[in-house]
Amino acid sequence: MNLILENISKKYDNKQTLQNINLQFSNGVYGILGANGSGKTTLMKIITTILRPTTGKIFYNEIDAFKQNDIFRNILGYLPQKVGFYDNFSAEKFLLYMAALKGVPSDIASNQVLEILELVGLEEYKKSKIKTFSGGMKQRVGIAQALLNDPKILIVDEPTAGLDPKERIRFRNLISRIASNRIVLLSTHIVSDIEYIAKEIIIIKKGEVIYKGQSEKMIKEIANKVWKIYVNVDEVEEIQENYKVGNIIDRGDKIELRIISDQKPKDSAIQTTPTLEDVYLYNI
Amino acid sequence: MKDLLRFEVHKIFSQKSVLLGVIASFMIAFYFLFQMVLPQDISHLYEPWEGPITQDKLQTIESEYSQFSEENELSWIEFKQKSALSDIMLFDEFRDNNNDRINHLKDKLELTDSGSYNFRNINVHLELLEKISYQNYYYKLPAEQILNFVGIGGFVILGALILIGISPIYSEEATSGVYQQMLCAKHGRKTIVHSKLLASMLYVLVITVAIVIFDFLFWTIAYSNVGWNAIIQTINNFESSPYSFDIGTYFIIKVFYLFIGGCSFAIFVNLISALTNNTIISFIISSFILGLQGQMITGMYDLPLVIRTLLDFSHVKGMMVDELFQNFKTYNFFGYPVLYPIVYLIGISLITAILIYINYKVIQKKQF
Repeated sequence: MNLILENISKKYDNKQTLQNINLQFSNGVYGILGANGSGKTTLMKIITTILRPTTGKIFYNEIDAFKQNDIFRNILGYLPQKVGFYDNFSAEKFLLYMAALKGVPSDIASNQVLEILELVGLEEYKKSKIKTFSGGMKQRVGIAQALLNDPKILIVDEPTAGLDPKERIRFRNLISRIASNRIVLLSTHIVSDIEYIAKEIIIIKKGEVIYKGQSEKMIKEIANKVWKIYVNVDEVEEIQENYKVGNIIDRGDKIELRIISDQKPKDSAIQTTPTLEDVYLYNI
Repeated sequence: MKDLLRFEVHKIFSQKSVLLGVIASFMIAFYFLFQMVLPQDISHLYEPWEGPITQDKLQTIESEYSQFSEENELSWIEFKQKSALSDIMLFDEFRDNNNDRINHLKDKLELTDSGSYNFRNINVHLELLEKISYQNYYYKLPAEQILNFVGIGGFVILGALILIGISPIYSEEATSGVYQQMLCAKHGRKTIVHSKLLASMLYVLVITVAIVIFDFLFWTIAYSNVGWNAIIQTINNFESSPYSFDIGTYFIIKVFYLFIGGCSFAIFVNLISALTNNTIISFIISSFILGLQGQMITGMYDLPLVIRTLLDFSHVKGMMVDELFQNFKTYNFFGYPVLYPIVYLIGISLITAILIYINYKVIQKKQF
């Protein structure tokens, strides 16, 4: 089961938002990393058929997403960056509505909604109105609606924005649990969201895919490019101007900087083990 | 589809603005209608004259009428008594006028080429006029009031509630952000359109029924429920109507046209809502179009023929109904005259079909 993106480009007026995106996905979680405005959301919206690409095609097992869109949409689940709700609906009623939109027969929908509410830990709030929910609870309703039709392709866009650390871990675990038999595309600019669950990472910069591969492999590739240095406070600014700086930690009399650089930035620099965040910084 | 329809109906009716709109509309209507209620029953003024209008009856009426001197100031009930007699005399005058028109058309027909469109047109007119029965006179005030409210009152209430209830039908999806999930769902680009259109029509039906119930209750309580057998030619502005309907039949026709016009307008508002992503803008554009139609129809403007023809098939003409039936008007369809009320139904159906088609296309191509 493959999802194939062929030469996807998107132009808004004179602005090229996406350029020649060619990607292929099979079951598992794919983390799509990119800065804000890099084109992640546009790409997600094109895959969900909400937006039409200026050029290019999308296929899922030979189904043309834009020609056989009813069949394609039947296997899609989408959690947008800002999920839309009817605030006056209860969680259960909203999910039943989404189930009807997704074509889930009503005799199946009621049970399915209850099961999914249980999966996302909201079964006891099923009758509560969505307007009374916290951001985290709303996000859980969002993921629940995305899972309603048991989608083969699940697209989640910036799912952890606005969530507290506990909710983020809970969300990550949930994605991990449901990803075994489907393609999950998770776009984020928070590296830790995908570090341990993504089988492959795609980095997008200015509308172009600049890197795609397994996170371990990517980390290995920058094995000798991550450094730690200790400097005085007044040197920090200059170093930030000349190098890609990751963490900055105040160590009392000195400042510890994590630098990603092909060359050793300073004689005193110590090579250190890279993380996925370093890969992201290196490529952005 | 059934589930989606249920939700769409629920979404329309659960809007607070709809509830407030319904309460406000009917309260305002109640206030205005209440001003129109006569202080006392006048049916007894007509009762002696109901039924066949004979020469004997007419002579008595004329003699009673002549007793009301112009100089003396009349009491309210005397004035009403005089009006009642005048109404019956007018009825007789209309009967004569109708006979004159029939004779005039017969003369005209003899001078017209029997194979021409004009001949067929006059013939249709003639046949209609000959069917009108001026035999019996009935006291008609309660039925007439019920009938009148459906036109103007029905148009105002239904129009306002369509604007309030249907304007957000798609724009609300944009405001709430649900569009994102909707447009990528299996039924989010086609079945949802069926559901929203059907839900809008159900909404129009419910409001129409509510208007009729309110209208019936109000006037039945205020007066009574009589007068349905009177012919429509006895109603103001219907003297020249060629249609041989009694008020009862015309009332059913009027409600039907109100519903059809309302449905078409609701479908138009659906389209505007689908084209805009903002409820206020959708409301303003739809209100403007409805207001413009109303202004052009009711105002005395010297409009170009194209505009006048377009207005003949406007939502407002359908919802206000009366203008469709007040005069003899036909359209030439391949040399054969077709009555305006029938052509209106064909025209508004075509317009509505086009609006529905565009609505489907807009949602199919929608990007958000």
